[in-house]
Amino acid sequence: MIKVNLDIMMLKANISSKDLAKKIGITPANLSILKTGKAKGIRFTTLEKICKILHCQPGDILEYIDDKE
Amino acid sequence: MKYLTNFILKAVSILTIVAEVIFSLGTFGVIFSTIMMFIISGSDKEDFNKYILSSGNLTKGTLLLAGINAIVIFASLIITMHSLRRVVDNISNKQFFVASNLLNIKKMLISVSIVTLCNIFSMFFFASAHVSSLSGVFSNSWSQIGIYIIFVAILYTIYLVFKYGFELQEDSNTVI
Repeated sequence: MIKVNLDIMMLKANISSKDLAKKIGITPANLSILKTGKAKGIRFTTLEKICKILHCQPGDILEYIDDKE
Repeated sequence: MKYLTNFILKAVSILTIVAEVIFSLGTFGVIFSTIMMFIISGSDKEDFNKYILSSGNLTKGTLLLAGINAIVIFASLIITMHSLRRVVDNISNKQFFVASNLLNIKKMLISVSIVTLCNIFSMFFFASAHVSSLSGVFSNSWSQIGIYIIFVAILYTIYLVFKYGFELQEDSNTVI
């Protein structure tokens, strides 16, 4: 499964959900869906904006975890 | 082009309201005549027996059944028009693949199927009574029933398209 480490990166960048959602241009509700891993996918444009604002790489936000482990 | 689309959708929406009013009047007419059939007396009753029951070899029970059938047809048509208006209004508001549209198309499909079945019954009624339909709402031949069946098939195809579109829309909504 793909784990979303957005809250960790947000803590490191010291940014609130409301501010991040506003800067990315999505609703706080959609950001919450993304953070909780309920989203079915993420657009490259959204990922690019997140990486730009949080000064990180896509790999810092998305992590692959083997289900068997 | 945008204005033309808006105009057509508005016109269809108004037409559905007009149709709903006409079908409602038709329903009241059928209910009124069915009730009157049982309460008339004197010379009116004699005329009714002579010109309606005897000439068509009918009974009051058959006429009552035909009346109920006509009411079901009108009620289904009212539901169809109401659902169509809601779909058209949603499309006017740029809401295409939403749950409301899917539900209303489903209602239309069921209503038109009921209309088709009731029309098959009314066709047999008109054939047994040796009378022809007074209104275009009721079928007189298998060719008219065929048109209804084709219409049901088209509606079913539209329903499938909207069902698939709704699933795609839901999928798209969960991609952030």
